[in-house]
Amino acid sequence: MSNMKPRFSLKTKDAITGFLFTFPALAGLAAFFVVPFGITMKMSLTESMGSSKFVGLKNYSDVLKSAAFKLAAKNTFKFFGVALPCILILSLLIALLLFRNLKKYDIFRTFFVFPLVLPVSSVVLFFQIVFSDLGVVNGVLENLGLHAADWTGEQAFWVLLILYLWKNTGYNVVLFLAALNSVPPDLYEAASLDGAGWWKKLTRITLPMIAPHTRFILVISIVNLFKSFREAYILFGDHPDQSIYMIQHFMNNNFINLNYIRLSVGAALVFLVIFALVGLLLGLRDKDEGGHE
Amino acid sequence: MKTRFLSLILALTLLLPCLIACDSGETHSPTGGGTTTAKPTQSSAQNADSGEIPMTETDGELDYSWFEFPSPTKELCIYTTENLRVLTAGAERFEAQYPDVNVNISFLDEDQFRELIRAEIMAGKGPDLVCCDSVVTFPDLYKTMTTGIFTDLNPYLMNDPDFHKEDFFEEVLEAGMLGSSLFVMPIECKVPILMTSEEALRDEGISSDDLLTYEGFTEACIRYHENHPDNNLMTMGSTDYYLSQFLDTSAIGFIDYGNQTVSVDEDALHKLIDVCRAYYRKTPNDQPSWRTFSDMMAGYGQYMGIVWRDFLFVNQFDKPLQLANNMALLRDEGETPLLTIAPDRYDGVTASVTCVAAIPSASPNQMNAYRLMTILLTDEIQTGQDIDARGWYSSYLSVGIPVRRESVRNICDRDAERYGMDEIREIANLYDRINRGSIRPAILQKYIIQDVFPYTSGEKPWDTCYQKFLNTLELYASE
Repeated sequence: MSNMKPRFSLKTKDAITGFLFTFPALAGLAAFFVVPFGITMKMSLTESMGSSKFVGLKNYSDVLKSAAFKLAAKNTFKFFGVALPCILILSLLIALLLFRNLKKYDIFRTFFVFPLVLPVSSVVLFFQIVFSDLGVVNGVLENLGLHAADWTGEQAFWVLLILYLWKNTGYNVVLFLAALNSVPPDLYEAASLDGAGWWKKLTRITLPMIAPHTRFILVISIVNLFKSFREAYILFGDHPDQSIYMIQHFMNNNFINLNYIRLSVGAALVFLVIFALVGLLLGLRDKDEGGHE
Repeated sequence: MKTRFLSLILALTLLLPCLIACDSGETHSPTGGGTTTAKPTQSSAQNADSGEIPMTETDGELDYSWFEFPSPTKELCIYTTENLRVLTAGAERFEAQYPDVNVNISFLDEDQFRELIRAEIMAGKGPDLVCCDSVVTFPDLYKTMTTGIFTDLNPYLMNDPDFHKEDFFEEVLEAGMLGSSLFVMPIECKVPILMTSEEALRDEGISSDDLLTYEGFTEACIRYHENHPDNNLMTMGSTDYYLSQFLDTSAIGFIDYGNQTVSVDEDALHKLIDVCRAYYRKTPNDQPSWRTFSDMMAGYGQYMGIVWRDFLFVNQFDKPLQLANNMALLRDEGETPLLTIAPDRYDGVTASVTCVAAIPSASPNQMNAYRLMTILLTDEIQTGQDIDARGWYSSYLSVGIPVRRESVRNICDRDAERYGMDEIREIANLYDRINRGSIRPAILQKYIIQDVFPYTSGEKPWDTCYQKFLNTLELYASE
């Protein structure tokens, strides 16, 4: 008996066990993401809802030429370009401030996460009251002798930016605080002995040490940026002011009109961009790790 | 190495959209707004072999002689949004004519309908025929047509020896067209006839000829408001109601769906909105005709509003018999009844389509669906009536009139004979004036309310509101 050769090697056994354990997750991933994504890609290359004729990249060409898509892409990138640096810098500054006096401001940690757990509808209702034509902000402006602004029109971009920052900064602050806690204090002590000032410590110790966390916070912020469409949609409707018409508006409106071809093209293009962004971040990480080695 | 590989993928990923954008390949978008280019869509019959649609144009007429009717099958699945009597009556006749076909009708509410259609279309399935309200069910039927989910009915109709376009209000049928393709078939339409009296018009200094042109009509409406700022224009009606009623009949175009561009007649829209503005009320309870309505409920007819000069028009009648009845009652009060229709911006008469039928492209039973559709258009169904529990005659058509020209006259002749009221025959002459059809995209009304109503309520100037509306439309059109 003891000389009997096992049917499978230990390595193969491990592989089978691993596969069996991951199978439910893989099956779910395939059923709910990979297959629908494949269908979406196929649909984006067909002529119309009533025809499965392959038309190559013609639909992509049509969508990329569409004024609505161009505006949506421009606005989405613009929002990314403004909101991402704003939230990263703001949350890092607040985290640094709190980190220096953590005990004193401990209560703020709860306070900052609070906007995240509030129901979207109540947040939106609050913003509507504050920024409507006859709202609080315009009331204050008029009392100061200034002109009331059209917060649901030309200035809608800034309302959305404020809403995004207000809702997500707190969470990023908590993440930055965790990152700052992970930096060994003796590094700062050694730097102080060497005569390093606040700025030097920040740029030479803090930022490099929390870089991996920063990348994670960046990804979370990008995800939340995409989610801010929900607020934009509830606040300003399916066709808001042109300054905040985003990719999700384009996709959602095509869904409502049953234009799944354009919806698929939009989804595929968004995927490409996200894929590129994530790839870029991974590339940077690999480069960093290579450098450290 | 890994980083280089990633960089390569990234470069390709970012380059791809640029390459596509540079592609100068011709686009074959469907055209709308009365242009003649055809949008080829493929029914199961059309794409049987090559997938190509051999369509030639001769003397402006498209040639569909290549078309072959698909083979009949044993199934017919219909989705409808309400218990449309016209549909059930049609289905009964279909079953009698084709007893071997299994007919399955699903009655769905609007939300269910949309959800089911979305899911099934995505899966390449769906019903064989949809029959629904043209305004409520789809936010914009023309946008839906551009997706190609409905089959072009022209090849069927052009090759059907029993179908004669001239039997119908052709312009009303054309409301279901996008470019040169007929994607939805109007089944029922509506023309709101307004009743007033010659005496009431004379009191206001309005001549009956004024009501025949768009400009004259809108000016008369505004003049009436100036003379009686507290009165309503019609029996009932909020600002929203006036807007929907006038949008239905004004024939103002908003979007060229084929070219995905905006084309609005600003002047015509401004006039229409000015009428809504004149009769703007903050709350429905501000309606001054409320007294008339209560009195009407207490036993008076709506015609008394004309006698009391509470409003200028009675606008609540859909059927010729109701109109004739109220005309007689008005005459009894010593007034001379006058019927008119709000003219469209071309000074003609536009009928708004209220019920449509369409065959989804993915349907495997298109022949059965087409056969039922043609039954719905027969005189028997279009003029059909039931006797309800109270012993009253009730038309198969829910709120409107037939799209079959002769059926309108047949209804009027039948009712005139049945009730001994010759006036009903005269009403048929009014319907003869129909020379245009429209399907109002509900979403456009929503955008007008959202962007232009600050002008009707006096909060913002016209230019600001109109510009905002145009911006919204431009985005919507190019989506």
